[in-house]
Amino acid sequence: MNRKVFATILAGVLCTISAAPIRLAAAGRSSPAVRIVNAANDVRSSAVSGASVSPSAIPAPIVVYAGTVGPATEPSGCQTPTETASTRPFVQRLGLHRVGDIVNFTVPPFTGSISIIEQAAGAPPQTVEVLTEPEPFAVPNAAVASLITEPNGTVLYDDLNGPFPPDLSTAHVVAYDTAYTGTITLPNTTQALTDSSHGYPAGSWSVEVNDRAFECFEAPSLCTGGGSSDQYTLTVITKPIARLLGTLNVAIYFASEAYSGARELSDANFQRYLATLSNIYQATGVKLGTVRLYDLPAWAKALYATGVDASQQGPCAELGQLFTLSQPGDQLNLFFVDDIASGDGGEFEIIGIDGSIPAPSGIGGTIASGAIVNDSDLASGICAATIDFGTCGADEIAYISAHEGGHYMGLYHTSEALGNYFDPLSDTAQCQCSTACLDADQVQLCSTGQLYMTADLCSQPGSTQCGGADNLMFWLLQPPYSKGNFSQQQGKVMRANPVVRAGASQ
Amino acid sequence: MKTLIFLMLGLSVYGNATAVTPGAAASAAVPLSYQRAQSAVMAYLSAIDTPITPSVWQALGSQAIGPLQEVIRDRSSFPTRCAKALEGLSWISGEEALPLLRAAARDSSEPAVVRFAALRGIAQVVDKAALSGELRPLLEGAADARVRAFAGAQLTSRDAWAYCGLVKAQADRETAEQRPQFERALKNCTTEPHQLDQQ
Repeated sequence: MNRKVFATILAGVLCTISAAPIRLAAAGRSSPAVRIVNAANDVRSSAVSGASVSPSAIPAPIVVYAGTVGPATEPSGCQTPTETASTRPFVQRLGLHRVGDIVNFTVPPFTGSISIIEQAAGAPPQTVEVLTEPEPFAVPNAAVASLITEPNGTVLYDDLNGPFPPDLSTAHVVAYDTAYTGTITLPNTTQALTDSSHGYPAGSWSVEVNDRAFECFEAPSLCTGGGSSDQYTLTVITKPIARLLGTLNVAIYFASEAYSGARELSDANFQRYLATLSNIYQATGVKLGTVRLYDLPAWAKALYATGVDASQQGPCAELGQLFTLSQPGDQLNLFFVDDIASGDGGEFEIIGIDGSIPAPSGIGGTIASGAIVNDSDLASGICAATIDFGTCGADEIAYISAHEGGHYMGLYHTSEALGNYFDPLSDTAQCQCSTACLDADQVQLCSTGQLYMTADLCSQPGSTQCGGADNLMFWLLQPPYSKGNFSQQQGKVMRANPVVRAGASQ
Repeated sequence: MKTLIFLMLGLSVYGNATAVTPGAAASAAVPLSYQRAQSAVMAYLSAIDTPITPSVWQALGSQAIGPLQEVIRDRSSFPTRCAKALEGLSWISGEEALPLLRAAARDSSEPAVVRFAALRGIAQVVDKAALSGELRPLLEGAADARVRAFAGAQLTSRDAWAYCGLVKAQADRETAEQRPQFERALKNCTTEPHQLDQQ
């Protein structure tokens, strides 16, 4: 089905979408529900929805203040907990294994998604050295499962040997590097959506426990610092083929001094935020279920009072340690903070980041079990009746949260800033740093890394080479180009993620 | 290993950010119109989880200074955009951005994210000799403990040997509730990185 057909289908869907009111559960007060009139038409005027959604069938999210979580006093030293028990029915806890071990797991009939999660035990090396000229080059170690093999022996993914097609949408699996806790969730490419459309082959699959240090060990001519003794706890979560509707529970943790869960429960800006977040996800058939608000203990609020320095790498860095405070269960874990620094020395401001893409959905409390969002704009700007990401701070933060939530559920940027890497989905427009999108004098900057492909350059109607700015997973939120749209395949990837429960029930 | 190769490619383009001197290259390779510079500025201020590196800011050239200053002076700007504007201005204008950075860092009515960005900018644009004069008053005198702690972190990250004593003394003066805010600043004073086997 081509994009024009998608758009035609969508035109019939959009008019039926309206904002879901927010219900308050814990406070026992009458609901000052936020209804954003006609917001959907403004937000997703050209959206491609993955489902025919009838809003009347969609329950409003329930918002619950769930108290303070985390140890009462600051733990001493680095916390690297392994799996927190999940309540999911299709969880296979496969125990502790050494890198190089081939481990079997079962895929039941009609399985639509498979998540493979490696959690390090002990202290694997944090970096390895790639042997480049003139000097070796240190890169972080990463937990990346390999040799994902179907019952008939077909290898869907080999992280060491490939093949790695230039067009990633044709790959069976795309993996993202994460230190210490690594998650691969299938399907996350166009080819994988095809592979799984009628269910992945049922039977006994296998996977190799693997990390980059082990790859170095196996390929000594390429790098040093590797080894074959690292151990990982392996968990596999399977999920039946996703339906057109899914429910997403959300947990919001207030690491900010400016906000608290108890206060935000009845705060108008926060309710606007939730209503907008709900609106954005509705286009994919993903409905917000229960939203739990958590405060963090005083020591954690103080520790993160100056924000999070996400420039630090490794499990003991601030970001990973914050995520260990996330709770068990199937939910999107969002941490609100007042500042996020990135870059080699923490010198750059960003406003959101994930622990990994995708997150280890269904497993809370790991060093990758969350995303952080800068909440500083929540009460800023002017919020009119319709959603406006450029003037209403609550809408803007909802967009950021939805974007980071997209990463959490396995979506990549449709185009990276430099216009040289793209997501592995064929129905999202790319924005290429090339003459297709730029004047000749600007193209010379493509190879220098000095030109970023901004939304105004990536908004050519109908273009698959110079588009994508309207998509939620574009690298920028740049009004008025940003619409928070999804493609149909993006919707499928999200609904396939284990964190999204089938159906619209809470 | 493919992931490894990707990372190498990515770092080779996005990397080396800190090697750029603030204010050192305030001229675009291809001169931009004011309108294009303004458009690019507004876009870069809207980045979500992709850092805008110094070389990208500096490629906009001096045409970007005006639009950045407008955002900073506009009280209706979102705090995060104002913070990123201060950051961009620091990289493009260097020490010439100091008056605006100083004003934002000292303004107790500004949101924390703006003051943090200003403190970060100050630490980048001033030379080591001037660092104490700019940040010590905030370390010791800012009413907001977060600003005191953030100023401390900038001092110790820039020159741990020179400022660890000063920052530790300030941390000791803080209440027990506020002292953890200085943890990041004091981490710069330890020579031993966090070890996994500490758990």
